[in-house]
Amino acid sequence: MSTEGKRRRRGILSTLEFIAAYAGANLSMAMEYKAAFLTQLVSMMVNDGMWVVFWVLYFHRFPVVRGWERGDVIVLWAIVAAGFGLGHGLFGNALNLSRVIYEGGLDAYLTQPRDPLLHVLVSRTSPSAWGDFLFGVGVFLGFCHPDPARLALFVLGTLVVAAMHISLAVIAHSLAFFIGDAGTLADQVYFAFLHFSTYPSAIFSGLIKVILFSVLPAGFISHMPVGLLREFSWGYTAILVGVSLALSLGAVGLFRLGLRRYASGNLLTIRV
Amino acid sequence: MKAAVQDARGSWLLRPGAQLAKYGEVVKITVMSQLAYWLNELARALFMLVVIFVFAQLWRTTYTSLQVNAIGGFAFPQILWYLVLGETIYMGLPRVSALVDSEVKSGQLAYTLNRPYSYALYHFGLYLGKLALALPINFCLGGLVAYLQVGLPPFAWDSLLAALPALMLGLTLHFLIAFAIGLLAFWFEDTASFYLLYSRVMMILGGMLLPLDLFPQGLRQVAAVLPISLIIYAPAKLAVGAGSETLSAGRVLLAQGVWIALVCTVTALIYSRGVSRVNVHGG
Repeated sequence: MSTEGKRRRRGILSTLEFIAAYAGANLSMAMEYKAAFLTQLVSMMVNDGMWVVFWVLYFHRFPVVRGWERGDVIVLWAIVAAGFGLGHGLFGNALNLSRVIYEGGLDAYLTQPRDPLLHVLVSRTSPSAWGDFLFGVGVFLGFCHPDPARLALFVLGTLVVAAMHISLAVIAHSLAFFIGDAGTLADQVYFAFLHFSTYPSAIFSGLIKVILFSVLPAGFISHMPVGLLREFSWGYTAILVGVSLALSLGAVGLFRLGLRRYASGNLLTIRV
Repeated sequence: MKAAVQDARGSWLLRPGAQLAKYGEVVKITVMSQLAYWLNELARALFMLVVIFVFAQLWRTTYTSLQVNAIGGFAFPQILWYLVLGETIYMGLPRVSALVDSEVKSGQLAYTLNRPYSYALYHFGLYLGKLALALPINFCLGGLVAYLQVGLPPFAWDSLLAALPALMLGLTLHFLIAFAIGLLAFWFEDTASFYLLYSRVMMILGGMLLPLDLFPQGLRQVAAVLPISLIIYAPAKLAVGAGSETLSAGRVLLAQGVWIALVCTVTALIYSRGVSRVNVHGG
């Protein structure tokens, strides 16, 4: 391996260690309030469970709707919940990013050696997101007939969904660099994306389908991972990984573009 | 303390109008403070557009796939407007239990004990004030999407006349349940999980996501005897006037009255037990 290759590999390993170290610290901090942490975990699992109950009732009445069956929606919920949970568990500050930018809170991250976007994202966890993650994994293991091949695809789907969710949250919240207090707008965009991604893609058609595979790419989440688990295809896999990479690069690019416009808030903060 | 309670009861008997006016002012002030930030309220409610649009797509696909005009006694426009009403109520419900929970835990409740108003009625006033803005905004946004999808709502005047009191009583019933859950903070560290459980059960068994008419028989019978079906399902179904079984407005109002009396008694008991645990220290 060339020196450049070794350096890149070391860089990736160091970044993964950094993320893992923050995840561990964030989790142990959240566990300080054990009852509250467990409550949030269980509450979120109940919340997700109720949506699955809705779909079970729906498909009990209408067993097949445009090729979608109960099992497909359960797989969809398993992947979306696990991906959302993993993303916001590890990068729990994604949905606060606009507030951090707007209030000048980036100063503390800009002076440190790590990439400011990565650093700001990992500096917090969302305890309830771990409930989503456990729910997704539990549902997949319990109800989606896991075998090694399907498990590998589930892991891939979870990683892709996590990357897409965090990227879209970063893109929406980076609007704060350009329009100021973008919190409400960013939340609306992000939660619309989340909502669309939990419904079978087959119910959408025409212009809205085009939007769901372009501007608001929820269609890639609600269509492709389920399609992959139904019938594996290298083409689907390549598209899914490609889209999540493109979205991640777009998020990093927009954040860096916005960072050029960022003016320090002269905010004195202490990060413990 | 007993004398103060007797005075309060006496003043209700002597001057009920003045007592009501007091809580009317709470409603008025809450509405005015909400109106000052109406744009914020509107922005928050924009999610209704997405929710109703997605529901419209789901049910349009369902009806066209099955090639039927009615499912469980609901035509497509009826089920969509039913869901608009359900979401309007569900998404408009103010966070009563969280507020009561925080006031119990912070000790702020103690400050209200010697004031000339009822803690419960004060919160009911706040609740109505918040609903006065949230419900119309939610309904207008959700209704706009439904109108663009299926046209005007299929509400008949007599259905609306039956639905409005059922809506008011349903909202009162929800308030009492949420208030009681908040009061559990006297004994439990965190009541948010109780409320979340209740609100998620309301999503399914309350008929917010799906009218009970579409449930399997056994589950429908369970849901029908629970009070939560009287908060969303009953008023929304009465307004739309659809479903596999006709709902009698009189029976709904009677059931709501009985449940309100029952939950009110339990809530009063929880409140009196809880307040007796309050220790006030000067300083």
